[in-house]
Amino acid sequence: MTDDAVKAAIAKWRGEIEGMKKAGARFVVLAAVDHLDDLEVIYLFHHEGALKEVKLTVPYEAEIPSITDLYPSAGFVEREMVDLFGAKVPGAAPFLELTEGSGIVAPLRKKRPGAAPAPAPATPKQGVS
Amino acid sequence: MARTTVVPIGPQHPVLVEPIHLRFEVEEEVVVGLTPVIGYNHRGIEKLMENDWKKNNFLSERVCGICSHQHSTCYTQAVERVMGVEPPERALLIRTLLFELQRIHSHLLIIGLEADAIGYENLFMQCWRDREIVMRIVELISGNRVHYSMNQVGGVRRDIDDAKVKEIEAALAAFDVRFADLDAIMRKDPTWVKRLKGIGVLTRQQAWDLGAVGPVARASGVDYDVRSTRAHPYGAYHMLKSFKPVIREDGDTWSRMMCRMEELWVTLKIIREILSLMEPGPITVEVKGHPNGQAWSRVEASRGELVYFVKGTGKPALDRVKIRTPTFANIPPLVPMLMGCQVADIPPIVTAIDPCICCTDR
Repeated sequence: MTDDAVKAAIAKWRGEIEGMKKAGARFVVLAAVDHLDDLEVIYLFHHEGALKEVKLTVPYEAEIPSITDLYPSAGFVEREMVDLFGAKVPGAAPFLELTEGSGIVAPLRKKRPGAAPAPAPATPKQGVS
Repeated sequence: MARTTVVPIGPQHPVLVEPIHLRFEVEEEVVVGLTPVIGYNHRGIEKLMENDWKKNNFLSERVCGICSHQHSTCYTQAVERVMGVEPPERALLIRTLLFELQRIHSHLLIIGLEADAIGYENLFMQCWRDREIVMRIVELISGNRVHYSMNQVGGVRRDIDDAKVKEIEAALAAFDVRFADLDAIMRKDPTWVKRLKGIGVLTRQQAWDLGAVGPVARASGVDYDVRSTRAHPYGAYHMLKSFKPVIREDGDTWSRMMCRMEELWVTLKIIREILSLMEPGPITVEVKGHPNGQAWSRVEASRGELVYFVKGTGKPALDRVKIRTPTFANIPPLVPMLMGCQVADIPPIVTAIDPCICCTDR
């Protein structure tokens, strides 16, 4: 994605989040999904008895603006995304890295920065259930 | 001018057995600041669940020993939604029965711990004695007391025969007397009422803004209970007439505990209705293939809304599982609850959100 494309995607996403706030939707949670070079963030809202998603996909290097100005409840889960995926969210400090350099960097990324290439995932045997 | 002192509680502390760090700033005996820090016991279960989707039924139970079946149900129905599987009606009823039984023992557990937090040990012992009744019922149904292993994608793994239904009904009869006694204590006992009324207040607006869930939200007047969300039904709740969410308005610590007490009465009605609705029939359907797609799943666990996100790519191993537990949502509201309170009131206020750090640090 070019810088302009990222900016446009973030502007569109921000407009959708503001629309949710204006409509009185409740922020439920966000789920980050790793796409190797890109990070997809799915924001889940509850509005009038139904669930609604707002999605944003950006390269890992891009900064994802915090939505805590609109939804203070998003702060914890944004910080967790910083911890687990190494996402860049300005103002969101990590939880897990108690002292700088002591934590595992982005443990939920399939291609972790600075880590040896991960082995191919083993095909699990069929579980008996 | 009073000097500000930092009082650290946790992650290792005699009165808070689970590892969370609450960094209080106090002036004299009054709390003027709080920073909660989590993550001391993060187990990486979301990463571990990028594994065989069938095994995850059992792994999801290990997120928490108190709401194990509720985690398993939420995960299972997420996978069922991805795969387009409709479990049989009897399976949904059995799932919901265990779900509500788990609510009883979870609520009795935290009411007991709240009593312990204010030094009311007699009430603590009474709650945990009564909780044993429901622990025996779940053991009767599943063979287990903590991790029931009842769910599987497509239904449940064990049926309940008529003899067991009669045993459950007989055991439930004991609860009517016990709950009436407990209810009276919680409404009138001066030790309980004076220690909990008016402390740890969370307004409706604060509860809404900070995303509080479960009895914490409902005690502050927020009408939010996933069981009543008709647009997103789960389990057998769409078949039930006895369910009605419990909403209170005061938002204090006493209201949070009373909300749970009143929910126990509702849960008893739900369980009896489920037992009356159970007709003979299959308890599972055949499931073929692997999950290919993604879905959200929500349930109203004992502590509040529990959310799972599951993404599969048509392979045995899942691509992503996200878990949002109720305590994770209820920690930020702790800050306004505790601001301005006395240091002596910290334990009952924190206990009243029914914190589960085990869930929070999946």
